[in-house]
Amino acid sequence: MRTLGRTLVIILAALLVAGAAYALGSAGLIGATTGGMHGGHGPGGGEAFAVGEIVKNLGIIAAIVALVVGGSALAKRIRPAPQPSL
Amino acid sequence: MKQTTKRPNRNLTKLALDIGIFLSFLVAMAPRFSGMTIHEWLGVALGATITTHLLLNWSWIVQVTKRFFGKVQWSARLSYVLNALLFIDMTVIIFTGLMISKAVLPTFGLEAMHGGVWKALHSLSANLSVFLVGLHVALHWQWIVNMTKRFIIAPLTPGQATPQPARVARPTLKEEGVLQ
Ligand code: HEM
Repeated sequence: MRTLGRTLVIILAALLVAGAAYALGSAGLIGATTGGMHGGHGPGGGEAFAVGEIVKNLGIIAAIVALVVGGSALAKRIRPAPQPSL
Repeated sequence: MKQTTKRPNRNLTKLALDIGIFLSFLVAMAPRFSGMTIHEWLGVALGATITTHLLLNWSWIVQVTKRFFGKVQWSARLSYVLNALLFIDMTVIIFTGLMISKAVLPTFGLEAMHGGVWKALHSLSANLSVFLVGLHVALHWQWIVNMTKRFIIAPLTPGQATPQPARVARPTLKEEGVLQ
């Protein structure tokens, strides 16, 4: 019962977002400045290109993780957390 | 006699689900790899698995929502804002995907709109999601490393097994990074 309630909350939140997106999209407020699709299932590219897409996205995510995790580790080394006084 | 029912470890369930979501996300981001029909159904399934992911992390959501303007770690606050953006972005991706669907909607006798706006928005929000997912993974990196060590690496290297906690209790708010 509790899980059902929580699920309904999540669905309601998603419906609110979808409704807002629908209103904005229908009113032509978004999309005018965004270009068309450059991929999907159109012609061009092949199996290798498709695998390349996965590798590219994995690379972007890995780079972000390395930057954020490495950056915060470096920051901790430069400015270590204050030790509790005895 | 006392009966002991073995409940699956919550963290193991979370880790397995998260790995599944991550791999499915990578495949969904390459529609030419899977083909459009699989892409659409995978996208819908991702909606259901993300809902499960949120249910499994419900206590974190509730705690940080309650304490957002109070006593909470700055990293939890940052994570919260980022997670909200990710939720909005994922919802927009799935919603706009349905609006341009050629496989899922017709299955239910419905016809999609095929408008240029929805295609553009689907593409834009999908591209944005790669960065948001990257940040999401980065902010939970320590948890991912700890759980990978405990549930994947340790069982594979029995000699150097990391000790399992005696109790399988819910982590405290401090352990979850909510409280300072
Ligand atoms: C998290 C889930 C999803 C992700 C990450 C995702 C991502 C993508 C990406 C990256 C593209 C190619 C965009 C481009 O080439 O610029 C695409 C195309 C497409 N997606 Fe999705 N998508 C998701 C869910 C869905 C769903 C649920 C549906 C429909 C039920 C859908 C329907 C489509 C269609 C029809 C296209 C091709 C549009 C065209 O070229 O005509 N997607 N998606």
